[in-house]
Amino acid sequence: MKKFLLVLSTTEQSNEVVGYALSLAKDKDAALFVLFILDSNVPATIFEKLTNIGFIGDKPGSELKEAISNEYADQAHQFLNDIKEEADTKGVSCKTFIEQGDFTDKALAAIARFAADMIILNRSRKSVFSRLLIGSKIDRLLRKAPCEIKIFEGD
Amino acid sequence: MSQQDYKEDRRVVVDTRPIPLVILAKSYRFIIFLVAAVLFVVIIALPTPAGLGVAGQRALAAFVVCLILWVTRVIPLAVTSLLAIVLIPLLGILDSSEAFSLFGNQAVFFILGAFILAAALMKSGLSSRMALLFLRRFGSTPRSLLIGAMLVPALLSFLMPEHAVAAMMFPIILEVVHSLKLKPLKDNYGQALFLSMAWGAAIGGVATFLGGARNALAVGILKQSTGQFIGFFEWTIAVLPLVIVMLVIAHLIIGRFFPSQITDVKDAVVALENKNKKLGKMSLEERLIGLVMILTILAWVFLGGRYELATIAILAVVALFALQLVEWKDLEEYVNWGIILMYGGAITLGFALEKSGAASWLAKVTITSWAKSPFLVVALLALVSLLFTEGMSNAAVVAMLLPVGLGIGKQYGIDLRIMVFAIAVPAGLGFGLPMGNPPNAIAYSSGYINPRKMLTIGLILDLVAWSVFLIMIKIYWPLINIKF
Amino acid sequence: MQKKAAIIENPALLKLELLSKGVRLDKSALKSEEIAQALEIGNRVSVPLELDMILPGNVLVNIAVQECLDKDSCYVLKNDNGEFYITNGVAKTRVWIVPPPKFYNQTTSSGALLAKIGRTYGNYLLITPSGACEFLSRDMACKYCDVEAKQTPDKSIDDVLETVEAALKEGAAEYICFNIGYADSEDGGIKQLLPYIKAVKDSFNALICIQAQPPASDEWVDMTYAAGVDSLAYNLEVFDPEIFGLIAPGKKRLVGRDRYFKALARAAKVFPSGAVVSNLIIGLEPVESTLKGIDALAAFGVVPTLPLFRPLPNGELTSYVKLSPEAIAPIFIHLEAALNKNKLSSSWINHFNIVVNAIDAHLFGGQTPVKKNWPSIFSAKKHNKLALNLRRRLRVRATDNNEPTGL
Repeated sequence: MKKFLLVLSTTEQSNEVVGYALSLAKDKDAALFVLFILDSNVPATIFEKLTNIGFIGDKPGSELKEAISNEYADQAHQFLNDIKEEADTKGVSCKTFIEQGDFTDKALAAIARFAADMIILNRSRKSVFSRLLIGSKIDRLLRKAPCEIKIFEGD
Repeated sequence: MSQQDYKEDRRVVVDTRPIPLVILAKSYRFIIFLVAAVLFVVIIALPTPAGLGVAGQRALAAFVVCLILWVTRVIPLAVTSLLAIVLIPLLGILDSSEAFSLFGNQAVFFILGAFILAAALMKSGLSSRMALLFLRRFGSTPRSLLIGAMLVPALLSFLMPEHAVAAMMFPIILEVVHSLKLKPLKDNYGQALFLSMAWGAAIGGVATFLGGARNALAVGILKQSTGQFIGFFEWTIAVLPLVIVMLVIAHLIIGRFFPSQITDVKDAVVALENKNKKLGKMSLEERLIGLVMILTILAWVFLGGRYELATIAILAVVALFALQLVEWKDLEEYVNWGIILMYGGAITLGFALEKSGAASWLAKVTITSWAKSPFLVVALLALVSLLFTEGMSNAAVVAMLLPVGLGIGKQYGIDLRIMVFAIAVPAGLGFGLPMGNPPNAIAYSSGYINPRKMLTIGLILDLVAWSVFLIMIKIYWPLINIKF
Repeated sequence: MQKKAAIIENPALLKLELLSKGVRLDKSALKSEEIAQALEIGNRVSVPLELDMILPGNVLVNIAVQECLDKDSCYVLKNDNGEFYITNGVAKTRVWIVPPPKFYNQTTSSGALLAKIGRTYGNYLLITPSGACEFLSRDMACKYCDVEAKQTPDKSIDDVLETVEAALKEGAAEYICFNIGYADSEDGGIKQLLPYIKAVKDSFNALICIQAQPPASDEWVDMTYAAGVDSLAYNLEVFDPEIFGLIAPGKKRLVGRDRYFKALARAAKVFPSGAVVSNLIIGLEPVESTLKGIDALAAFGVVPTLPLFRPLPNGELTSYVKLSPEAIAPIFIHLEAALNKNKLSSSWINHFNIVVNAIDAHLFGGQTPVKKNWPSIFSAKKHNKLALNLRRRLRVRATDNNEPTGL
């Protein structure tokens, strides 16, 4: 059985790519692994700045930080649960994972871990911002990935 | 050495960025210091320009050094302020007893008191209770809930620092968003709620000395440098129309750019209700803190002329302790003490610039030489302040622009209070970037907001704020006797 | 016949054969001084005899001396007037025996034989400071591992330092390589090595490599680099997830296959390019799986090392994949291509003579070998210690909270 890996991240969530990955996995009779990468840089930078400019005290600062980290994890869990449900109804074997760290590194390590035959990524067509942010990451992956890559160009 | 003797090394982390970047990061601090030092020496060594005394020239050198350090933040803002306080007597601009005594400025103690009061509000949970109570009242329709999400933090920002309000509102808005099952980045209503919260807190923070400590700092610099003063009530009266207009416009803009697809917010009301129930009945402690707060504000408004604002603030703090409503430990956790040093240093530097004549000289060479209309000058200063605040600490913007602003005001014979407003008010109104304002950063970090949209709409709002501010100067202020 | 001759003539293929089959000593070989020295050392430390050899083309190899199991393809070492040859009955080729380093025979001030503390493989001095491994003690030993669960006392830091000093002085080693078993703690066992690493770094300007199991947290990968380790190996051994669990039950159950990839990925970011390696043993899984593993590891900057599986005397692994040298050669050609694609150099393991590496691989293509002597091979490419130390100084940051966080 082939193994496909769908990689999502905090800055790049899309329902369309999920639908695409699920039907691709169904067509090719492959197992789908979904990895959600939490970009650890986002909250870290914000908190450094907050203590710097905001003069926020220790306690409200750490409470807020915890609330935000939990929220990120919740968001990822929620998103992945939805995917699992959808996979179940479509009869696709699907496993989901959450990780924190750098997008490209985690994606490459995951290809190895799951011995994936194909990696599926999302690239938003509209957003210049996410192009700037995600574009270079995808380019790096394109150069390095040891398996087939499918880039889904969504809206 | 045996294995037992071996002690575990400190925790370390390896910087995995490209080597040139690592080298740059490592030498960044050094380069900044070097640039600051070189500029300092050059300014001191240059022949004294006409119209500027030696003391003024030296004050200017100290100002440039502090400016570089404040903007680049290679050392903490507060430490830069400490540097200012020793540089000024070292350069013979003021004698050291005078320089150090400026640290004991009333504005500093007022801010100290205000932060302690805010800490008491947060620690007791009274602020969250108030937020929940009001927000629940608003929650009949999606539109009204959105109004509440902006108005509640705005009103709370009248009483507490805006960043504290945003930090406290964050979990509440999150609860609402969860209960409505809104999806990050996708659902307009989620974005609208978080932006309302952030912008509400920011706009509200302009209204009083409590919401943005930079307001008190600005008035402190004014008083120290010129003897003039703006009262607690007087400030709010002057700024309130702007606050109201901006709240309305911000709400309309958010409604326009994030049309809601939600028709029903019952689940949110239930969630708020539940959260409120969890708080239990209002405790005696909360009631007493509320009472102290109300009395303090009344005293600021009505007795502000007779007693110093700082005196009232400190007495309120003593009352909190006398009634055992807070412990010292709480204050250590809720107050960032660096602020006291930061503001003290900023006031000292402002005074030194003013007294040495450096401020007026700077004003002359920068703006006065070509801008002929006083109104244009004020408009320009307000714009500069607004743009700067998108990128740097609000307080640093005030510390940097106000001394020059006061110099300019004197040249043109503009009411100096106008200069204070023109710099301190826009300094609180950065809407576009997450880093422009602490509430923006907090809202952005929720993950619900599309940063690109926030930037576009925020910049539009920046321009609106600027225009409204100018209209207010022209039309409203003359009515309350603030004139050019 | 022709095939047999072809193997003898290609040093890379010959290396593969010798690594997997070992060599038998002819009577003529026993007469030589080099062999006598090696035998003596073998007897003193009571380990099976191994010979360091140079094949034509500067191909380094460490060969086990053993009786021939497969009568059809036996390799015999012969001595003809002081010149050594290896023959398989059809053809022969000249080889050079490297005498064991002199320091092997010295003793430390505490009386320990240096050969028992460290052994050289190519220009690597391999030291295993402690025999402890929780895979062994919990009965989850890796099936290819021939270390027995015996309680040998830990080697003292002083003994290790004396051995390192002697080896460096003689020029017998350039890399000091520590090997450590698994410990079920956050550091995965590396903590035990830190005092040794620190002592060696403090006393000598030497390059240090380690072979360990991945720590439970990436923080320890960073700490390993900060402590002074220049190159490291977390050995996966088998890429196929199912075979991995069968072959290395301890690695699967106590560490987890995922952890290898995560820790290797972090290490590849932290350590200099090419300095992070991982074993994939050829012959324990289908060739396609090994190829996939090579690509996967190389993609995130890990240099795969490809030792050949040698069946153990206890016969635990009988169902391994038997591969002819001709079947193995393409794997190395694939390795070389994968390294080139990802701009990786195998310079950290070029002289590790118990594995075949990319430098040998180009010989599969039939390039003409160049004869050189042993020391000149080592001096061909050296890592710049100054640059490596500078890199560490630049990259390592303390993260304790005493630094001003800024207000």
